[in-house]
Amino acid sequence: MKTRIQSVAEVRDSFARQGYICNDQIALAVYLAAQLRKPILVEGPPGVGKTELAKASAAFLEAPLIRLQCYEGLDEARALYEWKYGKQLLYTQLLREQLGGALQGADDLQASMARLGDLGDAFYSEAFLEPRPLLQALRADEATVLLIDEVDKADQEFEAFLLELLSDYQISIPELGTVKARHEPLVFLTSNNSRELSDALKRRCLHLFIPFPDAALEQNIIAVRVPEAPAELRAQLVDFVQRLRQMDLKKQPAISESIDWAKALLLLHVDVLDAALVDSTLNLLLKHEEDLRQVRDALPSLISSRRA
Amino acid sequence: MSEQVIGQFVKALRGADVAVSTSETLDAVRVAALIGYEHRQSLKQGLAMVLAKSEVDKLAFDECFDAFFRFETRPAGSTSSAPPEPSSLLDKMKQWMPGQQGGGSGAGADSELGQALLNDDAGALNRKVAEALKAAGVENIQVITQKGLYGRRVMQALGSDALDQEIIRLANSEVPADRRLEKQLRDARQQLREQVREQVAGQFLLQAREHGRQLRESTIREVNLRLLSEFRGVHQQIERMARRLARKHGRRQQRARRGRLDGRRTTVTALQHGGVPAALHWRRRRRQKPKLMVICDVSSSVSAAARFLLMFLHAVNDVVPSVRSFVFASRFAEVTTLFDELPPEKAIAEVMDRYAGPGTDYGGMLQQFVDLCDARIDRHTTVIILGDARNNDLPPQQQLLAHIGQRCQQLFWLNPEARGRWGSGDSVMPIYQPYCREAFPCSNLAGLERFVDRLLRDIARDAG
Repeated sequence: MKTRIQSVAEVRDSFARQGYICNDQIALAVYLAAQLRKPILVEGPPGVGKTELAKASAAFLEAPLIRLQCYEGLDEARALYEWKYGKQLLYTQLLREQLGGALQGADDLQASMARLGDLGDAFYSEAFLEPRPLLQALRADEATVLLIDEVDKADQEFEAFLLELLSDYQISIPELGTVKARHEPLVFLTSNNSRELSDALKRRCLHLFIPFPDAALEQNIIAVRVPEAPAELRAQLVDFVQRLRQMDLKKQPAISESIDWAKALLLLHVDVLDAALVDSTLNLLLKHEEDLRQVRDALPSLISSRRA
Repeated sequence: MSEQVIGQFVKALRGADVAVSTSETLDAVRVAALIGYEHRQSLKQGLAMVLAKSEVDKLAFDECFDAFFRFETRPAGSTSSAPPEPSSLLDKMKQWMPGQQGGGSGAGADSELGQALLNDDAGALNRKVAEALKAAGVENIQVITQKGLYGRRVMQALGSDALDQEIIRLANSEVPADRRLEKQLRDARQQLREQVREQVAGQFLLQAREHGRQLRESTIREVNLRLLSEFRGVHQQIERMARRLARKHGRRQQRARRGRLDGRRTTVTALQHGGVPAALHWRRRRRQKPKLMVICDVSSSVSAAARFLLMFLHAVNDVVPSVRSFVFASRFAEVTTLFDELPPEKAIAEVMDRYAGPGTDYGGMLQQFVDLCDARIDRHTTVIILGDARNNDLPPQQQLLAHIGQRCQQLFWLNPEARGRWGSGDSVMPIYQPYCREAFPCSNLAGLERFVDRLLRDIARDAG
């Protein structure tokens, strides 16, 4: 991993080269996290580029990205490590005879136990250990970017389990002892705020809130992501999406949706937005029936007021 | 140096109700060192990332930052206790003192303070003010009305008495130069007073807001519920307490859902592998939804307690989703829907409006409750009765309470009167008490919080 970051501007420029357009705040967060060796907790509405930020950072730092997607019921076995139970079982079955041989000549129970003890750790050794993302990140040969995605979806116990990792970059495994990171990873946690995260977790992280971008930034983003779209259309499109976000919708259109929409309009060879066209492509922006109906009803005013 | 500024700022943040831990303060110091004080906007964003970690906190942070770092575009040298615009004071003094050349001997002022004022040395003056602030013990300021008092103390510590006397002496003098000097000193003294006043006000904002809040909170918790409605901010505090309890117990409820080993399924699937249990199957734990029924006496003597209990219980409905509330005085009625439809404060006002009154009949209440709800009480139901059990010498009907107690999971009684008064006069508390799992006195918010805490713990455990 790249260890020396000169300035915030360097981060921002590198992101821009990758097509990830962001404001100073986001670049500052990455800069601080890399300098202070602290995890970043990224919150914000869906589709504002939280996961993208981690990917862009990994590319910028020239570090591999390891991703752990959280979900309800995620436990240590899935996140950290697991014993390959099936393999262990298979080996004991296959090696039954060798085991018998190894125990031959032992006079009494005590001696057998002692011999078994010598062998014992064989079945709980590296060969039977299945490393999951967290352990991979800790044992990697170079520093990594670890993305723990949608941590709010995981249970609270899992959150508590993460605390040791986040503050000390180490994890205690009963059978193996404490595993300390060979190279401290840069950790990103993302959350859609579907539930309040615990204070203990927040305390250990830098907290970055990414809101929907303002019109100028969104235009920039679309210009970079969909360069073929004419400037006129871009302005209209961003203006319309920004208006939608003012409305009381169930799910507001995110940046990723504006990008999709821009791509679709481009495919349709559209140069100027009009009501009929918006109506027919609206389902790219809005994913709920109620929202669609509400916007369709307001469409004349949304379009006409823009022309005015 | 920067530690001190950040420390002060964190104090101000805490005063604005943002919880900042020590480790976060240390992070803030590192962030400030990394960014520097020159880039105000970056500093603000960077500090926000380590100090304010929710949207509410961010709002408070922005406000605090703008107020705190208004003068601190560049933190001054050694006098770092938030010196408000020293340079501008100096400039103004220069304007008013055209004849003064810096570094002079004080041009004839005798008193020490007068010399310092006329000397063109803002740094020295600021140091003196900072010392005086410390000497006057300004950090002990607690309420805003003390600002005048502390302002005077600081002036005295600066040596204003000698200055005052000198000004009076000069005013009586016939020499024109003395009169000019008097005018200069008067103006400078006025400037100094304003500076001191601002500093004291700043100190109040930094120190006392935090301290005053704690003081008020602990008062609110301890004061008798009857008097509580006089206080401002009670409702917010109840919500805060309830949120804390809900967080605490909500977590416990989300215990692992994996139950015991499912022997049957494990064996059945093991048959596929020649009897080797290659995959283990676990039972899922079923969660029982707890139910809560609250019956509150809203007659004038105890209505205050009922008000706060209802507020509390409806604020924790994250943990206890199903609360049915009943009230009675002369009439018995269910008020659950009111709480569903209206915000708690309004709902309670409405309840009191409609049902409060004299003449409680506990026996009648029990009869009506059993008639209405008997079928709905089951072994997951907790019943809470709040009242002073002063039955106006009517029949207590304790067999009904016994019946309720047997059917429900647990029955609690809250009595706003102190234990010593239970059973005195027309109170039938001793008759009812044996049928309750427990009876508590609850005369203040602290008691109420203790009860709800314990209630949620029981509920969460039984639901697990």
